Amino acid sequence: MKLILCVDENLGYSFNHRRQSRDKKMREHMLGILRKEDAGLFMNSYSEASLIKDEVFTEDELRCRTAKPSLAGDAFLARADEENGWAFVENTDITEYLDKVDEMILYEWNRLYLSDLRLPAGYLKKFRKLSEEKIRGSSHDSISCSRFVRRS
Amino acid sequence: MSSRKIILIISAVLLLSLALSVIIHQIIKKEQIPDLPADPPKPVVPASAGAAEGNGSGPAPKAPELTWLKGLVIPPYSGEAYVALNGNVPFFDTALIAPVSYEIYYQLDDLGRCTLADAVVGTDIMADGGRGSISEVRPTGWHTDRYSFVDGEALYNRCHLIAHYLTDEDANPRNLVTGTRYMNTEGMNALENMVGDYIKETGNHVRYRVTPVWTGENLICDGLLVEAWSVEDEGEDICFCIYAYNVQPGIVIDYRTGDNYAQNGETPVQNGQNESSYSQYLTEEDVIGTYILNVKRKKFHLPDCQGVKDIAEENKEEYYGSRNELVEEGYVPCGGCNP
Repeated sequence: MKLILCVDENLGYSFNHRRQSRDKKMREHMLGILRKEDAGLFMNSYSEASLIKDEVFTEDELRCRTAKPSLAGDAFLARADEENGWAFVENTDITEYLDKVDEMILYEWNRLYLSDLRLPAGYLKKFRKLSEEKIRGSSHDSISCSRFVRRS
Repeated sequence: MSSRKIILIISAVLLLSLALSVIIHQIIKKEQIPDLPADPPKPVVPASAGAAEGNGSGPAPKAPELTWLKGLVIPPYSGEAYVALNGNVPFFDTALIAPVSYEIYYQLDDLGRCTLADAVVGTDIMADGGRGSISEVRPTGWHTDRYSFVDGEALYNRCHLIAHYLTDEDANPRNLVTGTRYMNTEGMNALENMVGDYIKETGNHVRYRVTPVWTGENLICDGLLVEAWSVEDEGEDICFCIYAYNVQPGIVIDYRTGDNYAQNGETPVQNGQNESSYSQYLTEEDVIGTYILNVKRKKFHLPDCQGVKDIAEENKEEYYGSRNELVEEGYVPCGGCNP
């Protein structure tokens, strides 16, 4: 499966069942990648509702790109795994799926936030970085976007 | 049956179908976009809306009874800078918070200790410039001990209850406690970033309350209880009840006085006591001026220094105030512009 994740300086990605942070420019960037690859996106209803409110995706576009019906809990991760699709994770524990991730887009906030879900230390060593770029966010001065593929 | 009756029946059937289709559409729409918050409750605007109380420009109110601390069980520090309490839900009533900014810094207690800071933070009261000097404030238990293994060397910082970034407060004694470097950076900084970035991104408001927790007549607080709740989205993005431990790994603190010692036997250095890695940067006569800080690398520059343009925006902060205070906080002058 393929994973899209936003992390802070401690590789944390969620706190108290919520995202750590959000940024409209980051979301537009993510959508740009999906459009370019004509790829779908699996996510839960928490992320979906927020993307619609943020007006990054139109409802129609989102409907085309997301798994339907909306998947509760971590069911969207199972679907992403089955279909080798992209999963956008904001507030779901991905521990059980970490070994299944073959490709990953990591957005780094370059900030320290509260976290209770974190990537394990050393996890990124299992991957090779293919590319990295800096994005100027709408509320974050500099967000790093890196693309990784699992080392064979 | 008359034609008039037939028309009436057809109209009624059409109206009924229309109503049904609207209801079905609403149900489908709700299923497609689940988890949207319910209609927000009617806001109640506090009497202090839009105002800052207790920040030096007006009288400070007396703190209410801190009922939320009664019976509060705080687990001992176990290696994490903070811990969630009360199921990570604020103790205050979230139903009646109006999206209107205010900030209140309550009176010090009889021992001169901070009691409570409470705010609804919005973009209208957030800082849009650098912070000023806070060195004239000496919170209870203040010491200037420095250790080589502490980030920035200084064990204690003047730690804001509500960060300067959030409410633009500088030298307000009702908003500053003696806090360890560890609590300031690993605990408070993390949650302040979270709240501040959310407000910047959304333009929404966050109810934000900070309560220092004191044992007996100690002059150093045990920690800070921070509660936060995003108002417009009803806690969808920001909802926490965090206790940040006022500890410093490797150092034993006497909370009654602020005295301290290192577990590894290192002798602390105090300001002016003897030469140290930081004291070489102090000037005999303090200089008040504008400096550009690299808050990540803990360096300070003159505003026209070439090195300023290389500082990442998120690490850059303008500061106006005492040069020596910066050095005491662990900042090192740039070797290029030699501020």
